[in-house]
Amino acid sequence: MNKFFFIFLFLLIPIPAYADHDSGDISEDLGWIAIGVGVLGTLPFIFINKMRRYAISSGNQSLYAFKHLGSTYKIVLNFHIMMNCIGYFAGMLHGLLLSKYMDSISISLAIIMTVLMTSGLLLRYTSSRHLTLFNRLLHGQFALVILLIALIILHLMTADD
Amino acid sequence: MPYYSIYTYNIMKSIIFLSLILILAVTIPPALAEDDDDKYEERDHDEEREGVFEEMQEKISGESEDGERHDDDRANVGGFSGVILYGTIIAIVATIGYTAFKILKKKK
Repeated sequence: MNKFFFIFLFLLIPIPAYADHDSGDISEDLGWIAIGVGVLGTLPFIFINKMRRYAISSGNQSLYAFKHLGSTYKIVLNFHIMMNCIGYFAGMLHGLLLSKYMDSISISLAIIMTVLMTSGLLLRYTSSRHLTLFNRLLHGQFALVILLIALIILHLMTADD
Repeated sequence: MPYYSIYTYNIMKSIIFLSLILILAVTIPPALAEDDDDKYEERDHDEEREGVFEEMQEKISGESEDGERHDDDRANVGGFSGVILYGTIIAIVATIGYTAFKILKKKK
C-alpha cells in the first residue's frame, strides 16, 4: 500500500506547474520540471553506481556500505526510473504545448529522450537475455548522455528566440 | 555461408528488428507531415475560407484576416538546424551499431 501511495505522490510532482494560473507560463514550467526531475533522478543513481563499482574493484574497506547496498540499490533504481518517467512525460507535454515553436533542437531532444527512455524501460522490464544485454550497453553509452546534455544546453540557449 | 550460434542469431534478429523500428519512426512522420502540408496548400489555393469552422481554424492557427500564413515560426530543417537534427540521428544509429558490434565481437 505504501509503495503505491508514494508512486501516486511522485506522479503529482508536475502539478505545481499549473498552480499559478495567471502566469501563463505553464508549458515553460513543465520544461524546467523535466530538467529538474531528470537531474534529481539521475545524479544520485550515477554516483551510487560509480561508488559501488569502485568499492568492488578496489576492495577498500572504508567503502563497505557501497559494496553491500543490497535492497537500498533497488530503492535507488526505482527512484531513478520514477523520476525519469516523470521528467520524460513532463518534457513531452512541454513539447506538445509549445509545438508551434518546434525547431530541430527540440526534435533532436525528443528523439534522444525517447531512445534513452525506451532502452531504460526495456532494460528494467524485459527478461530476454539478449535485449537486456543490448539495452544495458546502449543505456549506459557515454556519448548519448553527452549528446543529451549538449542538446538541453542548446535548447535553453535558443528557447527564447 | 558463415556459421552463427543460435545466441548470435537471436541478437542479430533483435538488432535488425530494432533498427527497422527506428528507421520507420524516423522516416514515416516526416513523410506524412509533408503529404499533409501539400494537401493543405492545395486546399488553400482552391477554396476561400468562409463559415464558422474556417474562422475557428484561422483563430487556432493564428492566421491574420487577409489569409496570410506566418510560416516563420515553423521548423526549418536546413542549414545549421539540419546539421543538429541529422547529426543526432546519425549519432543514435552509430551508437546502436557500435553496441551491436561490441556484443557480436564479444560472442565471437
